[in-house]
Amino acid sequence: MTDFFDNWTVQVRKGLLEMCILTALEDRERYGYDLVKGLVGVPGLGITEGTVYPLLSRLRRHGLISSRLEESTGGPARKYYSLTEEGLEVVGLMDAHLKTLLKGMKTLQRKGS
Amino acid sequence: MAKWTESAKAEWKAYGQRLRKQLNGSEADAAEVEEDLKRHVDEEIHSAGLTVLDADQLKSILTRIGDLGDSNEDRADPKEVVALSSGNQTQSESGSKFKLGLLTFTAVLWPLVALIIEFSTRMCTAIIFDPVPSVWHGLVMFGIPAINLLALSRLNNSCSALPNWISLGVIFNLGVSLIYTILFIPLLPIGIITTIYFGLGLLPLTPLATCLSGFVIWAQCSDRIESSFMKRRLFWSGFSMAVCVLFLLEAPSFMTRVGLRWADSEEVSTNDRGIRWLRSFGNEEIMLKACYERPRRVFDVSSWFVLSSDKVTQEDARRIYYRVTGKPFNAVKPPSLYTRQGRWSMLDEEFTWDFDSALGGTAVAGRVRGLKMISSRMDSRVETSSATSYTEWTMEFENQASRAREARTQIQLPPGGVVSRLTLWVNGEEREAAFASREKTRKAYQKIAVERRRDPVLVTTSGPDQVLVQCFPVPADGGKMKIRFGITAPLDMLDLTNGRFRLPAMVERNFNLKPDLKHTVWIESRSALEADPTLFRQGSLKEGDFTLQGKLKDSELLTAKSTIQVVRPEEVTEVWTEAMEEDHVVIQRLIESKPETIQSTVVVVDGSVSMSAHFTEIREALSNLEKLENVRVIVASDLPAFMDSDRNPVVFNLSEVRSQLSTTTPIGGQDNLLALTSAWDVALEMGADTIWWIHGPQPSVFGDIASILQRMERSRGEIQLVSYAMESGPNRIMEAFDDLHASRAPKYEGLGATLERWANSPSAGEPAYEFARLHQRKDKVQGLETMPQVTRHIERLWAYEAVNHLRAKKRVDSAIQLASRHQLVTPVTGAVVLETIEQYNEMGLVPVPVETVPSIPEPGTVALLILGVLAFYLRWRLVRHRTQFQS
Repeated sequence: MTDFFDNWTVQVRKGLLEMCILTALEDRERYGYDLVKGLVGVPGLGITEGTVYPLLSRLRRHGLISSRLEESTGGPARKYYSLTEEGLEVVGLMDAHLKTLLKGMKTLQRKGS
Repeated sequence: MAKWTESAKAEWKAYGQRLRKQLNGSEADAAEVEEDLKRHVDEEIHSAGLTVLDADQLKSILTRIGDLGDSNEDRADPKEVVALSSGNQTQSESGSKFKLGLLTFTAVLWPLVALIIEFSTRMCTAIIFDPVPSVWHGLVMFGIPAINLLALSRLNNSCSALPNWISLGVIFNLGVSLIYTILFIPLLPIGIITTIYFGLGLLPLTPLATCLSGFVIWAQCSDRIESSFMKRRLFWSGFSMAVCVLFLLEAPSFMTRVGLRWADSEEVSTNDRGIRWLRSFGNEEIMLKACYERPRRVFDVSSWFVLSSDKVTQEDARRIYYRVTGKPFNAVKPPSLYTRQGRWSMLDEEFTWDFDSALGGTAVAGRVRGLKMISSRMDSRVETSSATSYTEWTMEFENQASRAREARTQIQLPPGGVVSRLTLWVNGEEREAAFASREKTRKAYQKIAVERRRDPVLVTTSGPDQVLVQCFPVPADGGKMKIRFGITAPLDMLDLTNGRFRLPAMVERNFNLKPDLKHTVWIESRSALEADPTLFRQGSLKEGDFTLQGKLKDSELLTAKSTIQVVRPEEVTEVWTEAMEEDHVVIQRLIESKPETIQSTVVVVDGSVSMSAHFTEIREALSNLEKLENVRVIVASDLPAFMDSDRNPVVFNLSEVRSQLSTTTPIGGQDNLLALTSAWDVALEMGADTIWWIHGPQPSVFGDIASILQRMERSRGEIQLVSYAMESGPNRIMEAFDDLHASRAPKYEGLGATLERWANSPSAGEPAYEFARLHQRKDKVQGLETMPQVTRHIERLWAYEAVNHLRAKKRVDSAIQLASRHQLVTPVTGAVVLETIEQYNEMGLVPVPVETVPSIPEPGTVALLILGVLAFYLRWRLVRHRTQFQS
């Protein structure tokens, strides 16, 4: 039972990770360390810091996010990530899709009850 | 930006390779991901405030960042990946935990436990040597686990910075433990064997374990140090610091031991250099320890280095200690010294059956712990008509040590006094002594006490007007021993009416006094007694006796303040007593004499540090000798002002010496023997018949005593040595002059008054008073019926004089017989109390009958009192009967 649930959560997290990254960048650009620390703190997402960077690389390569380097006065140079137009559009679609999905699930729950 | 150590760079390189391999085939750009992760690590370092990043810290950060996980969509089941990843991590963590635990054990817990065990049991100190001889050594030692713990906690926390001072501390610890490892090398095989076979040898291995773990900790620390230059700098600084600190801590000990070796040299120049060195750089506590150490025994780190076959012996160390400090070694509290005997036991076990070289001997030697005098009582009776005093001193000892002890003390007698009774309590019963030759009594004491450990007590003379009292065994674990001895002494007569006397006092002892112990004194007399009211309270008894009662501190007994003034009947100048020999009596006459005017004298002043408080008094007292025609003064001192180029004492006149003494600060303990020998020659040259020796304690005899003994013996009494002690304490030189022309000036008054009376009274025409005692047939004495009969103390004093005359004529056997018959302790006889009649028989001794020993009051006096009371009663009855008849 527990094994099944664990496996399921891994699948759900996997599906939602890209959406979480895009959503975190929806309102403002963020540098990598800050973005990673924010995502690690999301309850239930259960990701490690190392997981995020390959995803960021993949999203950039897909053109959904862009990055720029900026020197920092107090520490190392920071790499800032922001959504591209395409990324903004995709995150909108994702959001709408997820809402539809959740709505459908709730309809099923009401019918069941 | 933080500095990445080489190991960290290598670790990152390896990580990058693994990362690229993992991302191979995925949509992510491996180089970009590596770059992003590097940036992430830099942010972590920055937020932790690290300046240097080593491999362990990097591993720790990477472990926290975690696996790249499901970035590769084609990889295996995520559940398996999670399991594999967590398995590696657990394995790595458990490995590092084990390493940390092992380092914490060897670098922190092990040395800490070893130090606690050493401090609480002094095991190493007792068996091998003292690894922590001072508080500073203790701080250095306890610093090892403390700094190692701090370093390990920082190293374990990748986010914690490692300041350079911690690395310096680690290498300092490493240096200290390395030096101690070298010192402990001889013990390593024993430690290893005992660890293998008994599991108990970890303590000797502590320095090695700490040293090895110190290397590992240093390796980890050096990994975090930015540059190799800084690494080298910290390493050599810390190591040099360890060597320097240990050298500085050991320097006083090392310098003192070197000085002791020099001062023990037979070469005069080396010997002098050693004394000067020790006075300037010597450590008093280490010198005191040397006074108690056994030869060829290592006691601390420095003694490893100066250990050799010709190590300074206890006796030599005690002599040197006095020469350097001016104090007898046993006048100060013994050092905290642990000994091999009884393992982990303190110094009090030093003077045990097997190792107390002074047991049964003639020296008081070192103070022993556990043994103390718990009560002291003096009862005196002054017989005014015969101008004598008899004092009984009862002492009780208690021994808290775990072994039986011998109590030894030197007693200064009242001037002209002689021990005439000795009693020991055995199972609550009083046992009287046997009086016999000195050798016989000492042999009996050594046989019964030393070999069989039964209860004897011995009294022998120890210089003019001085005896050595010793009793053994005072039983262990709170056992007690009680003794009493009686002293017959003449009064010192100022004129026909006024006399004075002093109480006996301890000048040296090997036991402590019970805290606040005071000597309880009770003095009785038929006529008034006077004394310092701060010490004594006057009183009287119903029978008409006058009393003085007091409780005196031990130090007060030796001061001039404790002198007792006696008023006696002027008209009584002749008294008599029945003699021991049938039909014989002893007659004592108090004679007025005209002493010869004194023209010259030689004075020897001890230049030891114990005299520093008295130089002003001595300067002033010497002015009382100005009326003499010729006075020469020698100061016993090795200061250049008092020695000529040939190292002979300089002879001063009065004005010169007073000027010298006003500008001199006494130093150390000085050789008075050389000054006395020179004084003898000067006295012979100028025709002086008295040498005054003004001195402090003389616990050691330096140099050759034979030359002065020869002069004293050959001068046949033409020159008399008079010793005046400014400070109480042992006097080994006077002990050697036991049966020669030497006497102690009684301390009835200060030095000034004493010299004034001696030098000026004869020239002022003031008479002197002395006693003449004769032993005669009763029928040949005329006018006996007009003389008062007194107690037999005058016979004892006559016998004491007669013994001295016989000794002077070399008729030693006759002297022994006479002294034994009159039950006296003299230079040729002693008194010993044994436990049983069988022991007396075995040793060929006969204890004196109880009815013949003196007491307070004397048996004869008791009989006289009874007769008086009886006569008074009969007269009262007669008067009453007549009154009744008349009425």
